[in-house]
Amino acid sequence: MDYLIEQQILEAIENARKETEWKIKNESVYSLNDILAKSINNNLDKINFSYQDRKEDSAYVYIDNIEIEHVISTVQEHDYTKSAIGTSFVIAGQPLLKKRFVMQGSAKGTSIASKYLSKALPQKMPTRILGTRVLGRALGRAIPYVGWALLAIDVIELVIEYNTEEKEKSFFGGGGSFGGGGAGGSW
Amino acid sequence: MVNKIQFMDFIKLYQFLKAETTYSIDDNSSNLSIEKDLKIYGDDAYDLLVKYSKEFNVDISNFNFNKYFNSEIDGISLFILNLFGRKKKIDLTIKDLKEAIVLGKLE
Repeated sequence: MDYLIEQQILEAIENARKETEWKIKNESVYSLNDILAKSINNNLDKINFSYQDRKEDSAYVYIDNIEIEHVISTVQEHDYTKSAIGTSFVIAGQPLLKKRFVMQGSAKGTSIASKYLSKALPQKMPTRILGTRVLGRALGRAIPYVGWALLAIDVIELVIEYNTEEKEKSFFGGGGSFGGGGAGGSW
Repeated sequence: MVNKIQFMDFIKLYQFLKAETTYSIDDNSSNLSIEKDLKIYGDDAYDLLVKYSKEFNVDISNFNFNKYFNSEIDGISLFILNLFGRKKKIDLTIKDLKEAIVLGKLE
């Protein structure tokens, strides 16, 4: 099938979808299959009419029977792994550990990440990275930023999932408006 | 004490700060803040002060670290904490370190 005709058929089906949506919203008693089939055939007729005289062996496209399959799509539960890891990383970067500072009177706070990583990797680097020359400490200081990034990504994903879910809730996946959905949109 | 600071030779302190912070400081440098200008905070600031204390024989037993330096914390958390009215830290400057060497104690 040539590409142009394919596009015209897809457009015809999309137009039929919109018409059907409009009709069933305004009618209390209806047969969805019949309305849809009729609407698709009306739209396909426009293509048939424009092609009938061009070729001798031109085919006539029409819809005989429509079977509508009711598909229940289940929204996959959001995976909170990134949030959990992100939160852990941010917490690991907080100055939660208190230790006595040289003498009485003051205590300073250090983070879990910095404390243990600087012990594991006490090597000094030639340049300062994240304000420190100690390799383990630089890694310890990077960890909460990784955590914040993971949390931000998860929040963005949640917003996208929420928006998608809202769209799916609307009838025919058309986003509630007649202009929504493409030719390949889900029914 | 001002006169004493003026005539003292702080080359050893400058060398020490260069080794610890990678910043080149001399007599003509402005009075830089250790945390704000040299970006030394948290465990680095702690290590610096302990080394400084030993190197220049300065008593830091009464020095309140939390009053002058932020703990090991990331910039985002610090920003959020500052939004909730966190008490701002007092600057510890090069001049303070010089004075402490003269006095033999940092408070």
